[in-house]
Amino acid sequence: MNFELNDEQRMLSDSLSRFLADRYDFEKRKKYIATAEGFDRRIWQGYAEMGLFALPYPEDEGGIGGTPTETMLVAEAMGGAIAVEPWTEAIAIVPALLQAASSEQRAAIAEGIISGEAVPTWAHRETGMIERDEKMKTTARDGKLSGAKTVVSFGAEADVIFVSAVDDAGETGLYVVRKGAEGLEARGYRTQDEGRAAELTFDGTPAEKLEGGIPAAEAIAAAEARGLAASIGEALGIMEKAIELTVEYIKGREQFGRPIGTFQALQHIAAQAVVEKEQVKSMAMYAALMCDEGDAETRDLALSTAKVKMCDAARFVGQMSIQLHGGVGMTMEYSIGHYFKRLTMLEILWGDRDFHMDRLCEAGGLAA
Amino acid sequence: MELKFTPEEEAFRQEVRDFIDANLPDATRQHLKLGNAPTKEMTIEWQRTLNKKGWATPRWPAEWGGPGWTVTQQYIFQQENQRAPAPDPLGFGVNMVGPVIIQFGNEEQKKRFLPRIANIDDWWCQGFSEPGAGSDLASLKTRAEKDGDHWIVNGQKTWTTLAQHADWIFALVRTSNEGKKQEGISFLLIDMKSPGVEVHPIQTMDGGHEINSVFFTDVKVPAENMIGEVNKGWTYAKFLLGNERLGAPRVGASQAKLQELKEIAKNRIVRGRPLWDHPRFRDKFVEAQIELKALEMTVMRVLSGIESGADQSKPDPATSVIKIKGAQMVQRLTELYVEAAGEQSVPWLDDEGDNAQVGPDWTIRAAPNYFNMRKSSIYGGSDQVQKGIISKAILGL
Repeated sequence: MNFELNDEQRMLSDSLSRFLADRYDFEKRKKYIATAEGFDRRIWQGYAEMGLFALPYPEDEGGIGGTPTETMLVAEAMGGAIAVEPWTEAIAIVPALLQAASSEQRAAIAEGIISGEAVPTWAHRETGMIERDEKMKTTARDGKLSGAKTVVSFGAEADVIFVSAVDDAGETGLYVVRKGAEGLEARGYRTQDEGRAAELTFDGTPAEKLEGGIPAAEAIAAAEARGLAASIGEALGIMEKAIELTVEYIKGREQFGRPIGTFQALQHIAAQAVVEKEQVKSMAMYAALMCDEGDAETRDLALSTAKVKMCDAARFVGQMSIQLHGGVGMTMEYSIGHYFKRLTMLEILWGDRDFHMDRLCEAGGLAA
Repeated sequence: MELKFTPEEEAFRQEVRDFIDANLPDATRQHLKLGNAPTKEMTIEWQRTLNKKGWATPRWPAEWGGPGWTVTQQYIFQQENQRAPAPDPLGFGVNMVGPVIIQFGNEEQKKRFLPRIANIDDWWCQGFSEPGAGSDLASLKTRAEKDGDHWIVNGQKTWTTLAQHADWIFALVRTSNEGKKQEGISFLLIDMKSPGVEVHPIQTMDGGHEINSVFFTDVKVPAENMIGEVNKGWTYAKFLLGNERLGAPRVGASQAKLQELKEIAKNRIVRGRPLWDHPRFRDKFVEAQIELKALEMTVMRVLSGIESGADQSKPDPATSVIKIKGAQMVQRLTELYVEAAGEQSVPWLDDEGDNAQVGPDWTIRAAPNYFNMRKSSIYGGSDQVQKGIISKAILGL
């Protein structure tokens, strides 16, 4: 039992935080999200140069051999900057999906992602299908995909799209589609939290099937677990920053002739936010450590536990941050609202509270 | 980071479990399993059994009879002891005054008191709160005046847990009215058999007699019973409360209680089917499990920090989190027991005993335990005091 970070992990966290402080402050972020693609490829390249995209791959495949703990640290820092790019897909999801490929195929596909040239995304959810693939309608026939995927992060901008689909035998498979492929249509839009997403339709779209690794369904479940774990780390980073911004604000804001942070009613709300945030920190670590649990059900129940806790804390910390900022918290101009919006989206993504409560309740709760 | 315990730690857990299984009297286990507090005799008997094995004082240094365990081993022991369930070693001695004597006492005090604390030859109680000094503990008024080689103590302490059993009390007393109120407090050990000490019971709303008022009228206390320096008692008290907070969450006990609650719910038919199959109960059960898991992880984080030698001088927000969430957890479980017992929690067990027995044995303790555990967010620094600590020490508000 050990919850301490090692020196490399501390270094990773520090250097990414420095990079983001330097190149991703709130004003710069406004410029990035206003660009045509909704993010800055030079920042993406910066992530690649720091080795973020190589992090999750084994060392003998040109990677750094990082674990979900490293992913959690990256996510926490990204949350602090509310970085909008599909880094979760690149760092947490794609490496897990590529376990379904042979090592040669994996190396060929990962190369461009690790170098930062190709931005990947994950097209899995369909309308009416939340996190579960039994009702998946996208089909694969003769190496061609047909169907539709919904709310695909940067779906119109990404270069490599990982797609789940069922074949004629009813088997779930994983496929790679390149940007601009025949029959691929992307209807892109901005999201509440200032990222981008798209509705993708495939009509006989040529795709490369991932083959030679673990079964696709297992790879998908592992990927969803890692995405969820990363999102809890990201939520932690957002909550830390939201509390910091709020405390700073109530120290400076004067009413009735004194800083409003001297009022006990406000202090206790802020203190409760710290309590909730600390519980999320514990759960982010738990989620990261349970990602590699061999038994899929144990892993998924642990992750659901962490997610429910995160949802409750996110609701409280997000809402209190706006409340304590008062009127200015409502504005687009102040950063706090942007943290609140991203936090709210994270409650919903990777399975919402009800989904995870269902999963836990159906299983009769956690094993002792 | 690593969640799993090492094979050596798992072996240690098994050793603890085996020892408890082989030595814990069945009557004690059953008594506690039904939600009762241990009797004085049960606590003494079990602590002496542990002491013979060298396990009664898990956190003490080996020099003073501690087992020399790592923080993780201490945690495992505590968890197994609570899960059994077995009586906790008496916290007022082992976890409160003991560590204060070890840290701040002189050699003679250590030799005189520590072995008797370990073997519970002396039952200790805590004299901190007063009628006018609760959350604002430093405003306490019980005073000690020097008279030759004695202190003469006058005043009143309250909420004194199990003072009716106590041989000794460690008390915070006012020895100066100069300067800041925190700087005029001393830490004094008082023999409860001294003339002028009176114990008056306070009945709590659950019907129990756990707490007392303790009155001091011209009580003569030898000067050698003062711990450390005169007027430095507040420092020792803060050290003691920090220790108290870490032990507060009782994760092992809550885990056992939840497991038991699941069995209860499976066997209890409500509106035609097992309570366990009612979705609203299942939600509440799972939510309690989620809270407990988060609490367990936070406790482990703090222990891991201590074990790795993290800087202990800076306030760790996690310890106040543990106090607040630990109290809520215990309270939540008692609520769920009342809900599970339903109308069978209505009868009040009085001296007539059997008349009140309408449900399974555990139902009789459900409501009293719920009423009683409201205390846990009040003692040891209330939730509001903890939030005050967080907002000042962590947030700088």
